[in-house]
Formats: sequence, structure tokens, C-alpha cells
Amino acid sequence: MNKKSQFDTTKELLLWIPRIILIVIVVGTVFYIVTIPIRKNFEINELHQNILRQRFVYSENCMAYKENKIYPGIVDIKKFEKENLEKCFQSNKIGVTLNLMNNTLKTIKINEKIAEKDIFCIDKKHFSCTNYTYYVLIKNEIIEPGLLNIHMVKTK
Amino acid sequence: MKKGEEALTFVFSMIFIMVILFLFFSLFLIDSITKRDYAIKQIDNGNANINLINYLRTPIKKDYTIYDLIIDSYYNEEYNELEKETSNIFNKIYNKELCPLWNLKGKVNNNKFFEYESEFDIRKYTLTPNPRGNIFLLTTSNRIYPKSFSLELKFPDLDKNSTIVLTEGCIINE
Repeated sequence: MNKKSQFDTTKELLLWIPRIILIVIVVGTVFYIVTIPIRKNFEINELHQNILRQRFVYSENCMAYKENKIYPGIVDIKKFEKENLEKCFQSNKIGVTLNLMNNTLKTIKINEKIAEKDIFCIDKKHFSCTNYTYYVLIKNEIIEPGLLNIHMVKTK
Repeated sequence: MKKGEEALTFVFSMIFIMVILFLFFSLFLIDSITKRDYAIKQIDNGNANINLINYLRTPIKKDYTIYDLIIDSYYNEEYNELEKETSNIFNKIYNKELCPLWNLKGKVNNNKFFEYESEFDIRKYTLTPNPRGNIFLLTTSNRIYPKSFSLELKFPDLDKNSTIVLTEGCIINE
């Protein structure tokens, strides 16, 4: 290789540097823009539990009292049975503890193994928990007021 | 290649590598800064609320509910029983650990005719004059999200336009 061709090669190499930098910037920008929507991590565990919880009090298949029409929020005591609630809940990933309180306390656990992990709810990294109390009317022989506490536990 | 040229190429190569490394480092840095976790924790299901509906249809005696008591209280201007029943019910539902705030207001033609609320005073925790439109900071990780629900009440006087509004504030861990 003579001196001129050596000089040309070096010059060509040096000229490639800004080109490569530009390519890196362009590729990086494209990569960054493309991954923006992917980087959004939506946490919907609580929303999911919120919707499932409402099913208990709104659905006639769960515990809403029905006589000609459905009365959301009025608990039909005959429907407050483990078998019926398991059938209506239809999820095996969330543990639920239902406490129906008026003069007595009646407790039902769905997906018991998960529901019993409620002591770990302080660990928010691995568990998602919700707890809400409804003021309900309980239809037995007569209608009487009571409280329905629904505690849900889900492992993330 | 002469020694001088080699040295020059080496210096530029080093600068080039440093620029590349810096660019990648910057990209990862920007990436980590903008990475966010979003959470949808609850939705509003219209203005209906089981607690409010059940409060209104709570029987006090035979064929006489809280709804009737509200109307009677309004016409007789006697609110003691209403206050007692209301506080009894809502203090049971909203406990201090989970939902410390409740506020119930009745209005006729936009004029308030009764208002009862929890002992927990939300105004101590808000920095703005509108306590119901904000998120309240209690501690560094707990917040109270207030939600309002309203229902229209039918009065015997059809010209009376009445509403009842329940605001509840439950603690949500961030």
C-alpha cells in the first residue's frame, strides 16, 4: 500500500465516525420511541378485585335477592352458601373471605388456601389485597340490616 | 501506516468508543427514568352506591324506612332521630382503619336541609378549600380517595327537587 492509499483509508475511516454516530442516534431514538408503550406496566389487580367484589352483591347468581326483580345489595340468606358462592365467583386465583354480620357472624372462604394468606398482605410486592365493607339488608324471614365484609387476596 | 497515523487513528477510535458507550449509557438512563408503573385501582359505577341505597331502605319499624324518616324530618323540622339512625349506620360501615371518612347531605331545591359526617375531619388533611375533589395525603404511603354518590329523592310535593349525597373516603395504599 502506498502512502496515498494509506492516507485515503485513514481519511475514509475518520469520515465513517460521524456517520456511525448518526446511525446510533437514529437507531437509539427509534428503539426508544418504539418501546415507550411497552414500558407502561398497568397494575389492574385492585380493579379486577373491585369488579369481582361487586358481582357478589349485584348478581342474582351470587347473593342478590330476587323476587320478580333483582334487589342489588339485599342478601338472600339462602344464597349465602359456600357452594353457591364458589360457583358464582368463578376464579381460582383470588382468595376471598366473606363475613356476613348482623346478630351473628357467618364466614365463608372461597379458594381457602389463598384466602388464608391474608396475613401476608403487608407485602405489597407479592400480594394484592382489598377489603371493603358493604351495608346490606339481609333477607331471611324478615329484612334486617347487616354488614358484609369482603376481603380478597391475590398473589402477584 | 506511519506511527503518527496509527496514533491518530487510535485516538479517534478511543473517542469513537467513548461516544458510543456514552450514547448507550444515556439511552439506558433515559429509559430507566421514564419507566413508570401505572395502576388502575377502582372504577366508578355511575352514581349508584349499595350503601346509600340500603341506607334509604333500612326498615326502622314496620313499613317505615329511613327514606320515610327523611321526609318526615323535613316536614316536621325534627332531625334528632334521623341523626341518631344515620350516625349509627354509617359509623358501623366506615371504620377508622379502612374508610375513615363519610359525609351525608340532603338537599331540597339545592338548599341543604341536613348534613352528618364522620368524626374523622378530612379538612385537617387538605390544603385546598375543596376537600371532596382531591386526594388526601395521610402518610407517605396511604391516601384517602373520596368518592361521592347521589340519589334523587321523591317528596310528596312534586315541585321539590331533592337529592341525597354520600361521600365516602377509603384509604388506598400506594
